[in-house]
Amino acid sequence: MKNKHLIDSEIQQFAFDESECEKDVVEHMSSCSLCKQRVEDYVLLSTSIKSIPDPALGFDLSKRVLMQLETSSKKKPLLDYFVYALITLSGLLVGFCVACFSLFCINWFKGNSTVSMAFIICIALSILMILINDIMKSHRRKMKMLKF
Amino acid sequence: MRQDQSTDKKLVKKVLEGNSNAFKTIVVNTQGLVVQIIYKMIKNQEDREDLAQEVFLKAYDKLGSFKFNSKLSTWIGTITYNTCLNFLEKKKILILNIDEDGLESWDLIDRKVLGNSNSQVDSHILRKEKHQIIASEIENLPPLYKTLISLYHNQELSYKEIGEITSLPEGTLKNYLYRARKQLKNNLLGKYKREDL
Ligand SMILES: [Zn+2]
Repeated sequence: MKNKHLIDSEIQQFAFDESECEKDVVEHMSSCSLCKQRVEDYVLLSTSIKSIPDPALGFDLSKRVLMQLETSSKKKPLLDYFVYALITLSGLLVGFCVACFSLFCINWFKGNSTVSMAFIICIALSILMILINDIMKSHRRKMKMLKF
Repeated sequence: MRQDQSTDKKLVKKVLEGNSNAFKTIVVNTQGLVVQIIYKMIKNQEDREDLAQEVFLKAYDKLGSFKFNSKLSTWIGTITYNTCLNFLEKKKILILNIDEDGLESWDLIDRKVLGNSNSQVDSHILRKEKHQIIASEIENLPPLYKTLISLYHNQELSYKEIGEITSLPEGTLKNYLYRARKQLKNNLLGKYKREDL
């Protein structure tokens, strides 16, 4: 049996989890009125805590939550319709632009003579050559840097 | 537990099928626990009201992922606790602030009480304490202590359930509960002496 008084955690363990107490603790409790009193204090404290009324919100929570769920589910399809409408509209717009541009190109090719066509193609090809040359140069430079 | 689980399963199934009345039942059945946690963790009334609604909206969204590994109420309790934790984290409020002086003073008071073998006075105080005094002293504890005390003593949850809600191991949980009760008891004793009741 323990001759010293029990420490606070042992007192609380006896008050709330008696089955988990060491044999020494139980034996001490059977003969020490001071420690018994300390256990009783904790039991009393627990009873007092239990008797405090539960907190409550000042409104019907379930009603408010259901209302929010209803409004959010109503909002969702509306938002979906708006997004679909926007996608369709932008698709139509892009299609219209492409159609206009191709019409313009066809008319432009039809309206020019073969000489000027050859001239334009030559310019385009030379620009392309310059660009390819530039790309090759920068590629070689990067490869060199990698080797270092 | 099994009966609880079958009731939970029926309710969840109905909600997933679109029955809003079933969700209303879930809210009504679990709001006591949710409100208790929120009131212990959060001080501002407006924030409490907003968070209570947020918890159930989250629960509704996540209900499909609930695996029935715990009671539905415990699962909603976990959502509540984590929602409050995130809220406090954003506000940079600590849920537990143990200062060493505080720990020393608890021991001093306890030794004093034991030394004077004055425990009769002790119990007299506790018997005389009014609910308001205890409630306000609980209010002065750190958020985590308040929550643990209310989950254990008011909601009468098991250590396992409290552990699931707070993600604390059972040993740590018991240790915190011991400290919380001891701090509460000593604060009550201190108040009694100060006010010379
Ligand atoms: Zn003793």
